[in-house]
Amino acid sequence: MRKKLLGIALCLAVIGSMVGCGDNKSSESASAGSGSIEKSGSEGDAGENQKDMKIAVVLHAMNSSFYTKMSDGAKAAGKDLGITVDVMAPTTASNLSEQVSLMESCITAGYQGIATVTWDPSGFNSVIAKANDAGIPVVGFNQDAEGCGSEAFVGQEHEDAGYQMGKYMFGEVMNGQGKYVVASCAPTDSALIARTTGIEKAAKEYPDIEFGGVIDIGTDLTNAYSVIENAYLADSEIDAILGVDVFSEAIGTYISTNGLKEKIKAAGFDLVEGTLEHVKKGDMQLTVGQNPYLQGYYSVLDLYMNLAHDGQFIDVNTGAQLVTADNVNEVEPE
Amino acid sequence: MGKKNIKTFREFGVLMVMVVIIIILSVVSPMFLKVTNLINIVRQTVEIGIMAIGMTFIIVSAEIDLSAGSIFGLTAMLAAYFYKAGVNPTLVFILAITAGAVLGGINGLFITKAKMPAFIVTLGTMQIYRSIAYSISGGQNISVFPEKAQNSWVFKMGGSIGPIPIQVIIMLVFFIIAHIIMSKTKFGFEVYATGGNKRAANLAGIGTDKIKLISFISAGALYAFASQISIAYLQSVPTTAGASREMDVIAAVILGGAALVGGRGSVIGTLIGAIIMSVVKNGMVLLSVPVFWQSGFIGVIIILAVLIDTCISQAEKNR
Repeated sequence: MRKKLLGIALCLAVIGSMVGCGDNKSSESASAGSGSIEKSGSEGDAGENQKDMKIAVVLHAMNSSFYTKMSDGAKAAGKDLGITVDVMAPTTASNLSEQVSLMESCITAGYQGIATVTWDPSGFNSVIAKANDAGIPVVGFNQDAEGCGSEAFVGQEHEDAGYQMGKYMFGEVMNGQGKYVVASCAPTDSALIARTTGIEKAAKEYPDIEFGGVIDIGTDLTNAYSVIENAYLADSEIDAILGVDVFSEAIGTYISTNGLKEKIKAAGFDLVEGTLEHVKKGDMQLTVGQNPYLQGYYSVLDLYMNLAHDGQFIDVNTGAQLVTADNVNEVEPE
Repeated sequence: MGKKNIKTFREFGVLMVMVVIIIILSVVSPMFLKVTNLINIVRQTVEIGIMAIGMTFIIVSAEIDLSAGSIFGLTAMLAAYFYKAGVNPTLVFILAITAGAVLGGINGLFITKAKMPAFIVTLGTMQIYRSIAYSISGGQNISVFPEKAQNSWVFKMGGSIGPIPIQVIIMLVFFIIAHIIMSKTKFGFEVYATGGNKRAANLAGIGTDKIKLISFISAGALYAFASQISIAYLQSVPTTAGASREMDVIAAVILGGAALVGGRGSVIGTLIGAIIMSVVKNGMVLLSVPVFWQSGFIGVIIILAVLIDTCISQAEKNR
């Protein structure tokens, strides 16, 4: 019995020490911020009254290096500005309830500003209203939900980015003819729908370009590979596969593995290492960057400028960077 | 020690884990005990809590349901479709709950009549129900509901009475009713008997298949109810609604002291388990636990809490 009780006590001690670890991390983060404050302070940047500023960055997922870049950008902004920036995300990707719960916790946790990925058309309205009622401004980034109540949006203009991809692929690569399919990791996602719409808009300018539909490749590269494999087996008339998200890498992998680079043209989004490698090797002809690092960075900066200097919120378009074989060596992976 | 006392002691063990976590969080974060934060925690427990009541019936009867999240998602999508189409909200609500019961019943029928393992059946229906949800929505999130729906009593479930969210009151009513059913009624006794020793229960004249079927039907209806609360609160249904939620629900039930082999568990324990999940998630935000460690942290808490509960049970047995 004594041993059992000792075991229980040890378990509770581990819980306590782990919670303690979390607290230490918070202090570390704050002290890192303080370190920057001293440096920034000497340059006349962050003042003493800002050093306690805490901004929460609530992502919708953390299962890709792309999201890590957004996190890195946000943290870097915190360090540069001498404030605390905490990044968090739901345990499963695009979990609306959990993301809303995280934001609610941030409101009561005393964060002065929240930056979040507003990927659902209206699911964030009530929690953003709640934040606004508590005097906490919310900035949306990466994906926009019009009318959700956020103060500003930082990210790519998705439809335009899709259009630019379409123009390049249909005009320069496919010479105005052929059949294409769109590979999307989340066909219901508003940003990915906008990119697909942009691609279709470009396709309308080429009468001999045929749309073969959207395939759902999911958010797991292994699964994505299988879906692409099945789609091509089902319709070998496909001339191009255009990815609209960070999981486009699987398209290049499929083409590379099966030696199909002469038969299928491919494009994707985001500048992850794998996709860039496929562009270098010629498995893919294009990938479009959207600067996730800057999306994270500018979201925090937008909030900081308002909270510290009463600055007006501004929308920031982080652009559509077309990366092809011509310039791929000049690009750093994201 | 009588049966009732052992059960009380077991819940006390889970409760103790929750209290210790709460004390630690209160000490290290001054924000934790703020009333608004505590209300948040309880509100964030509602959907998982209501679903976990259904899962408790299933797990205590020695079965499992991996389709819980998909039933949640499908009934949410079905209801959203009809709300959006302007159908009478009360009718839509009844339809959604009925659909949940039917979907749960389909699981139950395969398990009891075709004698298929629940793990396999619900693994399959998890995918099927999710696909149907995608088809209904045409792959689009459904949001921005007409005023008729927004002004209905169904959507009022997402509101508050003073500072208290109505959904919290609903959840507590569900837990009280479920607790009475599990601990005071013949049906509750038969659920425990079915999960504890199916053969002995059959010999004692208990219709174990019927008990399991009713458990799956009830659980399906409860998942659907949780989905309606979600719509009322979030005013939006993403196609990912409920995805992977079964894991949180199962975790809450297991945290609450239920045994996956059946015959053990309680509704009160499940409520505590669900609250522990919410407290831990909330605590991670308050304490700025690094994002990559958050899932792992929840995993550690689940294992430790169940370990403590097991230690207490063993200690009680050896006494």
